[in-house]
Amino acid sequence: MKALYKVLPLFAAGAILASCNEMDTAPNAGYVTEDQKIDAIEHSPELLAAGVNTLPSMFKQMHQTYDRFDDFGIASTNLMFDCMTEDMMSYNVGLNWYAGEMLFNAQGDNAVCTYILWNTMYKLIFSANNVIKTLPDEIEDETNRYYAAQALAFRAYAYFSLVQRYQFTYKGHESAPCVPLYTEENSEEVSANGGGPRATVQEVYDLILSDLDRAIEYLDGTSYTAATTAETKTFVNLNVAYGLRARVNLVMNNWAAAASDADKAIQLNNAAGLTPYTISELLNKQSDGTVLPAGFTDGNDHSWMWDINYTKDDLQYQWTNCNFVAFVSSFSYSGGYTTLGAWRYIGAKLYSSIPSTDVRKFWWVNPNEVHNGVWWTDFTNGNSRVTMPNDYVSWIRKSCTMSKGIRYLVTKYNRRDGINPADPDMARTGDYMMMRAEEMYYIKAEAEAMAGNPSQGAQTLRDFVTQYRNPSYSFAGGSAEQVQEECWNQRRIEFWGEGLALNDLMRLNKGVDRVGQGFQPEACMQIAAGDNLFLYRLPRSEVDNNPAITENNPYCTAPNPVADPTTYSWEW
Amino acid sequence: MKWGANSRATPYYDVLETAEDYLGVAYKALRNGAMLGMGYTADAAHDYANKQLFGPSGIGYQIYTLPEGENFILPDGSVNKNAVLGYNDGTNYFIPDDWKKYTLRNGMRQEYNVNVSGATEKINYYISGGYVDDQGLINNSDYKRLSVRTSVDYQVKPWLKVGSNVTYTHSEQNYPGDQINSGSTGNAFMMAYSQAPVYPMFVRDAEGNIMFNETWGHPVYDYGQAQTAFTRPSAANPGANPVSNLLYDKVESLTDIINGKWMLELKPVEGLTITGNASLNLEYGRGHNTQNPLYGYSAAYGGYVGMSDNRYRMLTLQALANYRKTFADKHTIDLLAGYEQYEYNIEYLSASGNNPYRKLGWAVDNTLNNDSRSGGGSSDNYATRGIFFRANYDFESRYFFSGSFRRDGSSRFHPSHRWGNFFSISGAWDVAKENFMEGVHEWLNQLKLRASFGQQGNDGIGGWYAWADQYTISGESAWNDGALSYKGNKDITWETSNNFNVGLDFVLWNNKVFGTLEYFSRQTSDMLYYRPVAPSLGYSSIPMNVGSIRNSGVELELTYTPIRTKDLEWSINGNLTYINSKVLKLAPELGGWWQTASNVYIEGESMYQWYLVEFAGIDPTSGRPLYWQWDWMKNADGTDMLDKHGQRIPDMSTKRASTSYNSEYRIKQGNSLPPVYGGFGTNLSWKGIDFGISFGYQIGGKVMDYGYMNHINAGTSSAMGRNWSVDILNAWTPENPYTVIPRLNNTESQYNIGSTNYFMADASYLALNNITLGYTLPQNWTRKIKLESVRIYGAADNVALWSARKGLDPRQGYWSSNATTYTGMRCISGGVKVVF
Repeated sequence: MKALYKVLPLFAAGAILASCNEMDTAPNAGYVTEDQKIDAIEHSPELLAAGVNTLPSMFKQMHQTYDRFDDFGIASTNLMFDCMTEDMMSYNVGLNWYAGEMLFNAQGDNAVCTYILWNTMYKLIFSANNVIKTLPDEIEDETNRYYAAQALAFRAYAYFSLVQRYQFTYKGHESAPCVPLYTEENSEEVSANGGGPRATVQEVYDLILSDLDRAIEYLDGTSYTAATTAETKTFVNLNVAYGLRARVNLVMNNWAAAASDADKAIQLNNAAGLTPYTISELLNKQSDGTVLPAGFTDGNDHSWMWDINYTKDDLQYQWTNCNFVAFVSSFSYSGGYTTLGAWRYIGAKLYSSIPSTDVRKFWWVNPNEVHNGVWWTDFTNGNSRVTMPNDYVSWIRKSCTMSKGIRYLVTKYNRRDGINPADPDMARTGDYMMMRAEEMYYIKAEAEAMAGNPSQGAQTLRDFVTQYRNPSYSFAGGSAEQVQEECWNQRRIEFWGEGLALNDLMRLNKGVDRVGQGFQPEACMQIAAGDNLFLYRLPRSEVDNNPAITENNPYCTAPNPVADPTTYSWEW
Repeated sequence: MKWGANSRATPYYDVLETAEDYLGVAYKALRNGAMLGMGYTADAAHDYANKQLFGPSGIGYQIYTLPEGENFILPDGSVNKNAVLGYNDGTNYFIPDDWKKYTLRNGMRQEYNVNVSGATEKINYYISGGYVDDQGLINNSDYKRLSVRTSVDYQVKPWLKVGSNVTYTHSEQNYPGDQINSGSTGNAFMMAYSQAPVYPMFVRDAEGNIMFNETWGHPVYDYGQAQTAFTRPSAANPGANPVSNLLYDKVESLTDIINGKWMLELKPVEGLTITGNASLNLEYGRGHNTQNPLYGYSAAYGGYVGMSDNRYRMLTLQALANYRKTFADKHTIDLLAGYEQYEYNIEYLSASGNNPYRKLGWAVDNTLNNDSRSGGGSSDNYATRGIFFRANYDFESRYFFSGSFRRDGSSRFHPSHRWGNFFSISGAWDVAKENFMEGVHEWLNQLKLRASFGQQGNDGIGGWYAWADQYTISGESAWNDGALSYKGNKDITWETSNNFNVGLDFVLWNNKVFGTLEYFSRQTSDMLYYRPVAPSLGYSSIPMNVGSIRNSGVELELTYTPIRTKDLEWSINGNLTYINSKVLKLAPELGGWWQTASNVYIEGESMYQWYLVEFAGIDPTSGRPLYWQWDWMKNADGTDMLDKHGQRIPDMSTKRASTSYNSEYRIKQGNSLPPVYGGFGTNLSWKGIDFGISFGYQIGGKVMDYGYMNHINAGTSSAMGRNWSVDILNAWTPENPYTVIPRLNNTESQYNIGSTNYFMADASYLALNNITLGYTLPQNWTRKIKLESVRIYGAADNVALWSARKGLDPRQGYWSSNATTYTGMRCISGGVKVVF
C-alpha cells in the first residue's frame, strides 16, 4: 500500500506530461500564417508565384469591405464611376445597387463607394508591396523581372484609380492634396505611425510614372510582350504596361509621350495579333445569314489586351449575381440584376448621336426597330435589312417588355452563347475588359492632335473609325481641341460601360448634363465641371484613424434634379 | 412538467395601420419632392405624385382601382372616395394582407423533467431526463430538446473515490438564423412589422382567389419580384417572403452534445487530497438548409441543398493537491496547488448543390453532380495551460485570509507574450463573533466585513491566432496567397481585470433584515480590442491591448421580512447598483483620444460616450433638419488651436444651425451606460400558497433607438415601402412649422438625422419580469398517495416593459436598441412538480 502512495503521484505527473496540449496552434483552413507560407514554399517552390497570382485575383475579389453584392472588385468600382455620368442610365429601383451613385447621394465620407474603392485599392497596394519586398535586391532572371513588373504595374493601376477619384485632374491641381502613398520602402515605417499623409497629386503621378517606367524596363527584353489568352491576359505584359503609361500621360497632358506609348502598344499588339474588333466580327454573321451581335464577355477576343478572367471555378461564377455581366447584360435571365429591374440603358441623346451606319448602333436596342427579327433597317454596309436569329429576337423582345420597353437597352455585354438558357449561370458570367486595342488608337489620335498635329490626329481617328466602326465616317478634322472633342465623342460610345467615361469627364473638365438623356425625373441632374460632387471623400475611418490626415475633400450635398422639357416616346 | 404559451413581449412602435394612411403620406413625400427637388408647380407636382404613387418611385404596387382618368389623391389632399381597395390587372388581383397575422402565432411551450437520486454509504447517484418542446413566435419555427444526465460517485476505499457525470443533449431547432439578424430579408419579424401596410402576402388570381400550389400543398406567396407585374421597392425587400420560406424551405439545426466529467480522488495521508479531473465536451452540430426550386432566391438554380457539420471538442485536464489542517482548534490552513490544461478544436465541413431530385430532400447526394456542387472544410485549434496555488487561513472562524497566484498561457498570443501572472488576496472579519459585540445580539444577528483584491486574465480577443498575420489561400488553377485576411499583432498579451471589493454583510432584528453593502472597483488593464486603423494601411483593424478602464460603484441588496408566522410569510427584496465607468489610459499611440464613427474615448472620461453631430431642430421656414456647426478656435497666427489631445477646439460663441450635415462637427453627446440599475420584488406565502412578483429597472443612460429610426424618414426612394411611425403625421408643413419631424420630401438629400443625436432616447426602463403563483398540496394528503410533495404553479415571464417610447427595449444593449429582431418572448406557463 505504502508503495502505491509513492507511485501514484508519479503516475499522475507522467500522465499529464504525456498528454500535454500543443500550445503552438496554427490554422488548418482557407488561410495561412506567415510561417506556414514559408514552410509551404520550401516544399513547393512553385508557390512563390502565389503572391504574384494574388494581384490579378484581387481585381475580382468579392466582399473585401462589405457583405454586399456590389463589393466585387474593379468591375464594380468602374460601374460606380459610369453611373455618375449622363451616358449610363438605369431605374432607381430596389435592386439597382448603383442608384446611389446615379443620384449623387453616395458621395459622403461614410458612403459605400468610397470605402469599396479605397479598401480594394489599398489592399492591392499592400499585397503588391509585399511581392516587391520578397524579391531579391538584384532582379536578373526573367521570372523575377516579370514578377517585379506585375507588382509595380498593379500598384500603379491602383494609385491611378485613386488619384482620379480623390482629387481633380492632374493639370492645374498638381499641388492639391490627394491620397497617402505606401511603397515597399516606406510601408513599414508609415504603418508604425498609423498612416501616411495625403501626398500631392504631383507626388502620386510621380510614383505612378516611376512604377510604370520600372515595369516597362523589367518587361522589355523578356518574352512577355503581349498575352493572347483570357487566362494570361490577366497579367500585365509589355503592351499593357505601355497602354497604362499612355493613359497616364494622356491625363497628365504629356501628349507626345502618350502618342508614342500608344503607338508602341499598337506595335506590340499587332505583332501578337491583338487587333480591334472588325465590323463583320461585331455583326457576327451566322451561317444562315442572320446576325448575332457580339457580346463583350470573352477575354480570348483579339481586341482585348488586359482582362479579368472568370472561370467556372470562380466564386463569382458560383455567386452569379456578384458579377459585371449579371449587372449589365440584358440577357442575364432570372437572377441577373438587369432582369430584376436594374436594366441599363444608354443616354437617349448619346444614342441618337450614333449614325445608323455605325456598327456600334448594334450595342443598344432601339425597340421601335425590333420587329419580326428585323432591326436597323438602314444599315448601308451591303445590307438593307439585318435579320437576327429568332431566339435572339425573342429574348430581346422579352427583355424589352420586361424592362418596360422603349429606352435604349444595352446588348453590348450579352454573351454570344448566352441565348441558350440551359446554363443560366453562365449567361450571367463573363470576363471583364481592363484594356482593349481600340483604346490605343483613340489615345494616339487625341495625343497627336494635342501635341501640335491636329490633321495627323484626325487622320489616325478617321482611319480607325472608317476601317473598324463606320465605313461612312467622315470627320473633317480641325483644331486640336476639335479633334480632342471628337475623340471624346467616339470614346463615349466605344467604351460605354467600360469604366472610362468618368475619368474622361474629369481630365477634359466636362460636367454632367442629363437633360435630354431620358433619366427618371429624380435623377435628371446638371452638374458643372469642377463641382466638388465629382470628388470622392476619403472614408471617415481613414480621417478618424490616420493621425497624418485631418482634412477631407469638401463636403457637398446631392444636387436637386432639374425638370427635363424633352418629349420622349416613353413615360416615367 | 410545465406548459406555457409564448407571445411577443415588447409592444411595437405605433406605425401607420392602413394602406390609405400610408399612401396619403407617400403622396406628400412625392409631391413635395417634385416641387422642392424638380421645381414642379403645385399642379404638376400633384399629377406627378399621383402618377408615381403606385409606380416604381412609389410603393410599386397598384392596390386601388380608380375610375378611368381619376387620381387617388384629390387636389385638396383627401383620398378619392371612388377609389376601391384591390386591383385586377387581368392576370392577378392585388390587395394588401396583414403580414403580422400570417407571420406570428402564440406558440405552446411544454417542458417535462424527471429526476431520481439516492445515496448509500459508498455510492451517490443521480439520474435525470428532460424534454422541451417550444413552438416559438413564428409559424413553423420550433425548438425541441431532449436531455439526460447520470452522475455517480463511488467511495472505493477510504482513501480512494471515483466519480463520473455524463450528460447527453439532443436538440432540433427549426427556425432560420436569419430571424435573429434584423437586417436580413429572411427576417419574418422585420417584414411583418416594418414593411408598409400595402403589400399582398399571397399571389391571387384575377378573381381574387389566393393561388395554391397543389403539389406542395401550400398557398403561393408573393415575393414582390418577378412573379406578377409588380415589384416591391428596395425598402420592402423585393424577392423576399420569409413566411413562404418557412413553408417551402427547410432550415434546421440539429445538435448533439455529450459532456463527460470524470474524477479520481486520493487521500494518502490525513488532510491531503489529490484530485485528477478530466472533462470532455463533445458538441456535434449539423445544419440542413434546403431551399425550394419554385420561389425565392434559389429558384434560379432549381433549388438548393446545403449540409454542414460542426464538431467541437473541448478537453480539460486538471490535477489538484489540497492540504487542510486545523491546529489547536483555532488555526485552520488550507493549501492548494494545481495544474490545468485546456484544448479546443473545431472541425467544420460543408457541402452544397443545386437542383434536388426529390423536393426538400436535404442530402447533398440529392442534387445534380455538376459544377455547382461544392464543398469545404477547415479546422482550428486553441489551447491554454495554467498552474495555480492558493492558501487559506482562518482563526476561530472569525478572521479569514486567503491568497492565490496563477500563471496562465494562451495559444492566442505570440510565445514571447504568452504567459500572464495573476494573483489575489482577500480577508474577512466576522464582527458579530467578537466578544465585545455580545451586547448587541438582540438586534444585530450577524455582521461580516470582507475585502478582496483579485486578478483575472482574459484572452478572448476573437481570432484563434491573434498574434499572427494571416493570408487567404485561394485559387482555381494556380494558388494565390498574397491577400491579407487578418492583421495580427505579436505584441498583444493578456488583458487583466483587477477586482477590488469591500463588503459588509449584515442580518438584523431577529433575521428580519438581510443586507449586503458592497463597494467594487473593476479595473481592466491592457484591454483587448480590435482597434480600427487607417484602411490605407491595407487592413482596417488590429488586435491590441488598447488601454485600461475602470468600472466602479456601489451595490446594495436588502431583504425585509415584515411578517413571518407559521402560516404566513411576506418578504420584500430589492437591489441597486450604482456604476461609474472611466477610461484610465489609452495606448500611447492614441494620444489620449480615440474616436470611432459614433463614440469617443478620452482619458479620464467615460468609457461609453456618444460622439455625434448635434441636431439643432427643424428650420421653421423650410422644414429641413438643422445641425449645429461652429468655427474652430484659432491661434494668433491663424492656425487651429489644438487641445492636449491634438484636437481642434470648438468656439461655441460662433455656434450656428446649418442645413448641411458634416461629420467634422461631432461632439460628445452623453453616456450610454445607465448609472443605476437593479431589481425589486416581493414574495408572499400562506398555507401552501406562494405568490411572487419581480421587477427589473435601470435609470439613466442614452440609447440609440434604431427601431424608431427605421420609421422616421423623408420618403426618399430608399425608404419607400417601409412603414412610418404615426409621428410622421406631425411632419413639418408650412401650416405646421414648429415641429420636431422634418418635412417629407422624396428628393431629400440632407436627411442625416440618423447620424446625429436625434434618435437618442433615455435608456431608463421598468420591466415586470415575472409573476408566479403556486400551491403546494398539504403533505398529509400527498403522503397518502405515496408522494413526497406536489406543487402546482402558474407563472408569467417577461410580462411588461415601460420605457421612454413604446416599442423601445433598452434591455437589448447599452448602445442601441432594434425592435425587428427575435425579441424576448412573453411566456405564460403552468406546471406541476411532483417529488416521490
